Amino acid sequence: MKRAETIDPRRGVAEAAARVAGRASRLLGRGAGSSLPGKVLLALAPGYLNAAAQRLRSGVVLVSGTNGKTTTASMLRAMLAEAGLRVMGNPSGANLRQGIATALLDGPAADIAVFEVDEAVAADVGTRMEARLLVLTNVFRDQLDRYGETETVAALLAEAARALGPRARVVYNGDDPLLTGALAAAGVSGLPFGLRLADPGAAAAASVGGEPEVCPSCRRSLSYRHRTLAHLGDYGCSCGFAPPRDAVIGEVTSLDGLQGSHLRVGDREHTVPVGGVHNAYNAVAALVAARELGVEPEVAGAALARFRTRFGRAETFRFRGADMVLVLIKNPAGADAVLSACATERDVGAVVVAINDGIADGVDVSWIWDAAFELLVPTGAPLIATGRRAWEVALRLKHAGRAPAHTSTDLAAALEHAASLSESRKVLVLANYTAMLEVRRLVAGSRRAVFADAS
Amino acid sequence: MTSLRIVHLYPALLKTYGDRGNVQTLLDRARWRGIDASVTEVGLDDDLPQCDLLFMGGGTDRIQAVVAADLQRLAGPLRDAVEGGAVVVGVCGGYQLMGRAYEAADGSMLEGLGLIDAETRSGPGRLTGDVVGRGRLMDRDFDVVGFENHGGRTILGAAAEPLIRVQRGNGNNGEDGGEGAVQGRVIGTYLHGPVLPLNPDLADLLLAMALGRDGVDELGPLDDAIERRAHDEHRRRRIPRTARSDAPRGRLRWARRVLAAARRRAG
Repeated sequence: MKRAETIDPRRGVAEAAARVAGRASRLLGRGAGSSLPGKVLLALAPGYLNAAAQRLRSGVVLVSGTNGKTTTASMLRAMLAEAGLRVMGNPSGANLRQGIATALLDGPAADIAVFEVDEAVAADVGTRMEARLLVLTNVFRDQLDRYGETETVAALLAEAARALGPRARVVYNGDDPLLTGALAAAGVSGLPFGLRLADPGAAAAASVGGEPEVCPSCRRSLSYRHRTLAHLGDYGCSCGFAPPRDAVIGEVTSLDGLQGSHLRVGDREHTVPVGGVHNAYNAVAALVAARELGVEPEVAGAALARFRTRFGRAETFRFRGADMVLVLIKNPAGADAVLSACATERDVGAVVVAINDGIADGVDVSWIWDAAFELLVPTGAPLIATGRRAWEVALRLKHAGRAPAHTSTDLAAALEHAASLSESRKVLVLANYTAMLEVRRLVAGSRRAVFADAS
Repeated sequence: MTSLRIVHLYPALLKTYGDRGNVQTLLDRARWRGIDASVTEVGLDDDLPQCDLLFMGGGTDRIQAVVAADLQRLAGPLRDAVEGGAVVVGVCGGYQLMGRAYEAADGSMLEGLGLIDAETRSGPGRLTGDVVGRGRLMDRDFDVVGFENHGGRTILGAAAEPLIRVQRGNGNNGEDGGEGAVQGRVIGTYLHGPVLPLNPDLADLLLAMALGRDGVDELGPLDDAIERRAHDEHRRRRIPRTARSDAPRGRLRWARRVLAAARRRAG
């Protein structure tokens, strides 16, 4: 039962102060103002997340995991909106406590909220907001200087699931042995999902980007009947450890580069308008979560078919006369999925790889050596290295088999160079988090509203 | 010798920090010089083939326990390989397991190979950040940059020397200024980056040792413009504070930052 809403003068003051802080922050050019107001708000009203969650009639859904948080949450919001619910969330990906508080402060009146949440704060945010559903996407190594070891992250997510208690449902990726093992160890049962590829193609062998394929239960080597992406798939161990039998399985019937894929779930065909196996996983996760929240499958499917990407998930824009596609890469497994999709793209005029080393990126960028940049070489397109770590990218590309045509730590110069080389073919821009934000700012600054779906 | 046989130990298990880049660098820098170089991957239950250079990277504690159990099987063949002239390179977990013993964060002890006179104990927190230092191998000084991220503290015994002296960063244990270890033809380091692409001088020294050359100059020069630039940029960079962005910060600090931003705008 929801508590009756009481008027809390302290909260009103806190909200006002937070709004002022947000406006001040934007005026001072300190950023988009997505975290500061929330920081002020939580300092003045520590119970804000709980109080704000109580105002949402249909509750709170959280999405966590290494890869796919933003896209899965965004797909799920579209499905819930299609079903007629008023939905809010944190689409820009500000997924720590203060980012979620800011989203609640600035967001419209809503029936339900779908937030992506950072792995480290998932348990805390989930219990504060009494989340009714938690979606767990996967666990890959990512920003080891920030998060620590993958086993730790899997345990954090399992703890988040456990802490929500029996009233909440947990939708999770049963193809991920680390995640499945951690949930089993925490005694959490949930609604697993999985994926099968009609054409396993490049996913036939173990990849460098995947996690070590070791049984989380007995530490023997896992064997795979089917691989989808990195260490995800239909695994098994002689001790009996295997994917959950009751998983909802999506079958990828076709993959079309960065453009999209087709997916069969049960007897229903779905169009996923964002490319790569990773996005097929995101789509299945969102479909299972939507069904659990009472959205009819045809309604969810219609929303999925019209889904528009945002925030650097294969966003298209024009810059200096060239069509560019901006794709986020931030860890080996996610980058491999993107690079495989890029490898099948036609008419590529240039590929820009932009790697920064901000705190949000991880200050250690050695993961680029575990990502298969070799896949870019057969595209034949000139490569351009940029970002704060442009020279390490250049070195990585040299060892991948093609030294860059141009290397510059100046992102604007690099994009201009790419446009000049593109000969009216498209430019692929692969960027990690803060580099992606910088590209968006640059483009927005040079000509407003060139993004189809700018926030 | 015009061929170089590299063995990559447990690549499917020990691959946490771009370790593949080290092997790729050794392979490419040999091939770019016309040397017939190859890499053989050795995993659980595999035998050790004849080789000139062995590389082992690092993994999580859970995975290192899996490797340590299998590694004892290879202890004899590895010792024979070193005595036969092979060079052994271990990075992070690989380095720790080349010592006598390694204590994981949960207090459990793993037996090492004993190729390096060293022991690693678990310490409070992790030593994380950029490292800059200088070392000497085959009578040649070399500068090193890299990134360290380890919970273990390694103490060297009398038979081992540090690979480099740290000018910035923690190194083996954050106390004695040493980073990594050299004991004959066995070399260990905590440095990621990965370390060899960013430090072509060190990579070439290891190649020269493995190929049985008298000095690194015998290898002949390569066009290292990108390598040098990447090395220099890494050395120059000032990494942002490694605190998580949601770490609690005083409201006073926030006010100061707003003021500083206002001043920047004004000026």
